[in-house]
Amino acid sequence: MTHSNKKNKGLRAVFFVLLVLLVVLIVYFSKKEGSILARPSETPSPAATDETVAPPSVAETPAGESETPTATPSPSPSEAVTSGPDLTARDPMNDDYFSDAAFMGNSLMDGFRLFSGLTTCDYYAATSMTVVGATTKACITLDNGTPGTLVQGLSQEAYGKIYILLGINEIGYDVDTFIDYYSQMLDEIIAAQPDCDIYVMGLTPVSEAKSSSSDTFNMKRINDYNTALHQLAADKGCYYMDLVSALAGPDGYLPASETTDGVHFSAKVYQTWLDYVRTHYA
Amino acid sequence: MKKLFFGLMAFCMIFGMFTGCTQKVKPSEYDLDALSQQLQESAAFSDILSPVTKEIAASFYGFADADVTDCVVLCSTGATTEEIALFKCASEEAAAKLKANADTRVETQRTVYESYAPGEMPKLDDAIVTQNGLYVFYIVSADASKAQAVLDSQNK
Repeated sequence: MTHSNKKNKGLRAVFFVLLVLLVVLIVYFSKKEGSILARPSETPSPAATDETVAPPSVAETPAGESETPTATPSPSPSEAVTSGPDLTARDPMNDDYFSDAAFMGNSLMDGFRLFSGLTTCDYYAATSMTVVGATTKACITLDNGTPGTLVQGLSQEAYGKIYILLGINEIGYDVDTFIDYYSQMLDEIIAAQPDCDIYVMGLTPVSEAKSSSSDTFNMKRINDYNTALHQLAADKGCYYMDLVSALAGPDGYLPASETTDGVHFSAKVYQTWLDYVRTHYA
Repeated sequence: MKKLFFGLMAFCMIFGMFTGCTQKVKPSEYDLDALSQQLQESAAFSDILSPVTKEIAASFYGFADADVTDCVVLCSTGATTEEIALFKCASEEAAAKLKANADTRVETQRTVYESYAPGEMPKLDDAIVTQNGLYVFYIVSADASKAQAVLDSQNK
């Protein structure tokens, strides 16, 4: 065996040792890499648990009392309504007052559930909900475990007060058609809850930017809808709540600083809304 | 042969340096308030996010009160699906269950928003839903890479 061959054999041995080390290192770090926080593109898996996640809006369980703020915006309907009960600002009610109340509506009502802090009442609300959907779309789980509509949810127990906010998702409808559907829905609720005070909430304001750039989501149409809703509430013996007066800024629009799409709004506005609800009651 | 040997040795050393020295380790503890603050400041979100209570969070994520020891959940105005939900669970078992429910929430939001706001679908496609030990994070943002960068920056 020559000196050169001996040297080569030695080098080969070192080489293989290094190679083995390299493989060990690769295996070790590839395993470690797998435990690092998942990347954004992680594929979400469909429902695979025996635990049911609550739908976007379901009844909340009562909780403790909270402070009662004192804001008193007064309603100012855009047109006179022939007859019917009306509301003026009064001393604020505390959370207990709402323990026999239910709030029903669309994504804005769902926002009220999320951000108002009022938890003594029940909520029946869902994103993109309409007056038609409230009686036809089974989007909540009823107390008996079956799917049901928002109005079926309202009928599960006797409430003292029901607050309804629907309309912004139907703003493209003809006003009369909207009122016809609303009237039918109200009749169902009144039949189910004959001794209940029903509060029809007017549509909420949109931002000036939204109003001036949209043929449908604008304050002219919102005011038309609200005038018709105010009249409908009067005709049905319900109370009308003027949320434009309550939530709009001095210019009559939803403040731009409190919205990103001109329609939905921040938690701060929901507090103002709650203040209004606390101070306007039958 | 000599050149090959030194070449391989150099490769091994460089490889070792890059894998061994730059490997970051995930933390075993997170400050959820600080993390949510960093996420909000990351410019990953386009909507106004506001905090909700643990009770409200439980209605979305279906957890028992005792199973979550700490949480920070911020929801959007409703205009978007954007959300930050950071949880510390009482056990890894509870965390695994919550992670599954968070995965379900992505699908629920997809169903709710697909006709209402189709522009939200890419955000849900890029949803960050992850579990690290006791922690579960659900983050839907306008720019998932920025949100992910904040999470990655927590690794030490």
